[in-house]
Amino acid sequence: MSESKNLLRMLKIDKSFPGVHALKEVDFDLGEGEVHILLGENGAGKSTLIKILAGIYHADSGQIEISETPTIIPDARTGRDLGISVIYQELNLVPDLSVAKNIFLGREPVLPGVMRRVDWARVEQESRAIMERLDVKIDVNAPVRSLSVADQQMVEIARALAFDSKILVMDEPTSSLSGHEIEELFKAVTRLREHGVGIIYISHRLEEVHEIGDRVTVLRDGEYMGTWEVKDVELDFLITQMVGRTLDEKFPWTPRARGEVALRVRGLTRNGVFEDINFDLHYGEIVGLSGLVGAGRTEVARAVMGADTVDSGTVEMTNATKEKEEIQKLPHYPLWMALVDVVVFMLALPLFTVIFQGIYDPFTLNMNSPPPLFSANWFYEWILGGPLYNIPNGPTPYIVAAGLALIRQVGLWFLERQYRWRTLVIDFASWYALAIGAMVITSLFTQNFVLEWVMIWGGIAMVAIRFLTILTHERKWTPTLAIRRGLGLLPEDRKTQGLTQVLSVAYNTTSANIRRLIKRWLLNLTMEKDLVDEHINQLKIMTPDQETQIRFLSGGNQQKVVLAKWLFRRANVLIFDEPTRGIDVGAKFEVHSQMLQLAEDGAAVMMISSELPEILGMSDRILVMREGRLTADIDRNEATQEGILRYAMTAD
Amino acid sequence: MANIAGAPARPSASFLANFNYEKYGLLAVFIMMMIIFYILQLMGYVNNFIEAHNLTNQLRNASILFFIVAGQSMVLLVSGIDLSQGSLLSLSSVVMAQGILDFGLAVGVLMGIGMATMFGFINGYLVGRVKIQPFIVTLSMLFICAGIALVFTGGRTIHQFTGEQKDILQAIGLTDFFHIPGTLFIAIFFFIILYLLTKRTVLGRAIYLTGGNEEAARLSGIDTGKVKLVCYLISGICVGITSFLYLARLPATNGLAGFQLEFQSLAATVVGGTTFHGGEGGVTQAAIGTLFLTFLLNGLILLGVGTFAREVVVGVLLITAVVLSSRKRRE
Repeated sequence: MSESKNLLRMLKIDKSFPGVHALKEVDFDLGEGEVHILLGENGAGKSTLIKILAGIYHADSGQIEISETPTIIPDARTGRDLGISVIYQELNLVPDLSVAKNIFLGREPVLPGVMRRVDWARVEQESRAIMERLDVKIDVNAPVRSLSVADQQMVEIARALAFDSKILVMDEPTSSLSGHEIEELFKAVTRLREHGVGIIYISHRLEEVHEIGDRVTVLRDGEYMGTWEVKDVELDFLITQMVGRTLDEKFPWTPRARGEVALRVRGLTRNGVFEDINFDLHYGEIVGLSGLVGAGRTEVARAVMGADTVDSGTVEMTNATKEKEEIQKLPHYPLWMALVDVVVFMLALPLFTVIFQGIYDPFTLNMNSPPPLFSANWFYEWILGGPLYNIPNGPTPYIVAAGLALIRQVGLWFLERQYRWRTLVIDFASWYALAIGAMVITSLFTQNFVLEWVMIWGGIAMVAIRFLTILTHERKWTPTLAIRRGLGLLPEDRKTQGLTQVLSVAYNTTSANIRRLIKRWLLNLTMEKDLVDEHINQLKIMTPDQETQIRFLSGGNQQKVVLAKWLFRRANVLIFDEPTRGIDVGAKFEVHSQMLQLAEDGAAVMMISSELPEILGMSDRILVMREGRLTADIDRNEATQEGILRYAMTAD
Repeated sequence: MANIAGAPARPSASFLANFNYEKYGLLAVFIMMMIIFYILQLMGYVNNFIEAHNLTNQLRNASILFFIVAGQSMVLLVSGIDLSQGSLLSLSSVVMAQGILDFGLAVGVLMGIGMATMFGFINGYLVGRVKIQPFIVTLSMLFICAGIALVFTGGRTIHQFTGEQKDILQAIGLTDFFHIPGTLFIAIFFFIILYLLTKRTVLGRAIYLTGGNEEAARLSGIDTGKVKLVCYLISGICVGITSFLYLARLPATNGLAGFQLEFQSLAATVVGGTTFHGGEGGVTQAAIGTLFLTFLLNGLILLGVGTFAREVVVGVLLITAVVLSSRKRRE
């Protein structure tokens, strides 16, 4: 292949972003009819290189030659005109347009004449020709929406051909394809190769290197490691070339005793995103979750938190530690309390009945006034009822009502294992609101007395509704429930998911447990100020005062506020998603120290990170994900960068 | 990255630099406006602006308007919008009036306020639980309520109250204590309740957090749907109370009583400083916005500015307010 004509040569490409040297004098070349594989772990600079080639970024220095002539690519359109096509992971197709219209989108051939009408016949005909060239059977008139992902990818390739592309960049084309579809894709790639198209192929599946590659180039940390003929190299050799980022950073890690299971995840599946995730998280340990970007780590974390729905699987929080009661601040509902509730119900029901009958029942006006409360007559009336005192049906409704109350209270006790005054008050209030409302209205219109029936049916309705809510709503795993059980998530995108930018540091710190500030019905702002100050000092958050809005804080300090939020909640199972991305070194060390401190205090910590040194430096145990599956569970002592990368990039 | 030392310290050079424009800016503008109108009055261009009778009347207007502005603020705080306020006010006031005629004063008032509360709940349920766009929901509700109110009254005005009922209603709506309208006390009472609700309760915090960033609020364990529902419910209750006060002031109503009032309430809310993004603003801003808008319109009327010209002024004012608040956001 090397003797064939050179399509592309990139020489000494250098590119810096603020704070990052993304590419350090990288060389790259591509021959006619060649498949050149580009390898490297997260952040090695692959996509930067591709974006420079496509004209989206501009190199700080270096030279690009296309077909042996030095070229400058100022923008994406020029890149396309020069014959460079990039097929990104997320396909850029218009789902409602037909295949043919998608292929010629933006450069439709026009008929002669002033109207510049599009020559649809030619669009269709040429699309068909391209499809034949690729040897795939796709109806060019079908809307793209109706095609499978694999076929949509073919349409992207066809579009590249329609642009007469000589250089085709494929960014992880097989990541969402099944075995058979991958074969089809490889056939198409082979055919393109025969037509003399040069292909730059980015993949995280190392086994594909030998399957379709001619040459392979490895980048590491923005550095060019070398280019080899595929037939000359072993996979292990490539892995050793990819890893080896320096480990000079300091991590405050110390050995700890591992506690009981805190979080148990079983068979967690979300179709097309992650599948059959099983792991346990213990108190007092730090577990690192590694894997390549897009392997589904963040999605798993969000699912565990209850933020996204899953198709199957369970999340269970055991709360085995002693602090559980204190953290949840929700006492159990003892049976004796249930009995008290029932007695209250039974007493209150006739009480209200008598009071409101006295006011509203039109018949009362012509009869004796209701008996004084708790008098012998009142008691007689309550127990037996009777026409004299407006309770014509005897005690039946009250017995029914009390029975319902008993069922409800005991049911609550079994289902929720929690006692909540609020639930009781709401039930109580709505029951009586319903009864009194109906009483008022019926007495206005019909002069007919139906209180008892309203009481009974209203009661049945209330119990049914309450049970339905408990059965349907409470069982669903939501962030509310997860937080109540002591879970906390520091999201990857802290700016939009972790914090409210327009609110103050204090508001954000207390947001996960506002209830903790309640004192005598209202929030105690003095207490809030003291508690927030405590957290600001503990985490060394740099902020002028508590009232400062979050958006005025730097990234590291914002991350600390997210952490403060969970410390304030006293969460004891914490998931850190990329906790140190984009924050400065000092704040980074601070976050790591806090993480360790939490684990030492007995919390279970899970850390998702794309940086292997961080994973190796902080974790007691390392889980590795690859394409939505957990592929490895490695102990700290056995973990190496090569090992993790092997599990993250190769099957088995 | 450059800012390792944290946020910039607040400048503390002078009073002007220290002045919290965000909080008290509009109050300053309001006071300045009053002074300007007073100067115009001294120069003879405006008649009877700073004068007991006029001030009492305007405070009465403002205190009645305050209720729906406060309701609108609640909804805007959770980045929603309530367009149905005006027509819901029509509906609830005609139901209230008819209820008073048929069932007596107390029941009638309860029916009216209950009707408004119910529609507030429906709005809130559709926005918070069914998760439909607030604009669509409340726009539909605008047509529904306006339609029901007009069909219900058949275009007639309801005013046939007994003398006693009229007396009680006007006692509530028109009594002044030393030139201070009674409705102002009701409004102040309501203001205190809402202030405590927004600033000193869990629900209030949840409202600000939901409005500021719904996803973050959800991940902090807040049931954002419920919070929104409650906000629309509060808006409905506010409309109910307003319709009662309208009816109390002038014991007569018809199916167009609240025609386009939602725009007035939106204008006052936005001028006050509650933004459409949610999470910023509050009841205090609602109160200041209400006072500002009421006295501005009154001053313009007394200055002899025509109806349509006043609308232009309100429009310009709105755009200015939005521009200022978005600049504050971008800084």
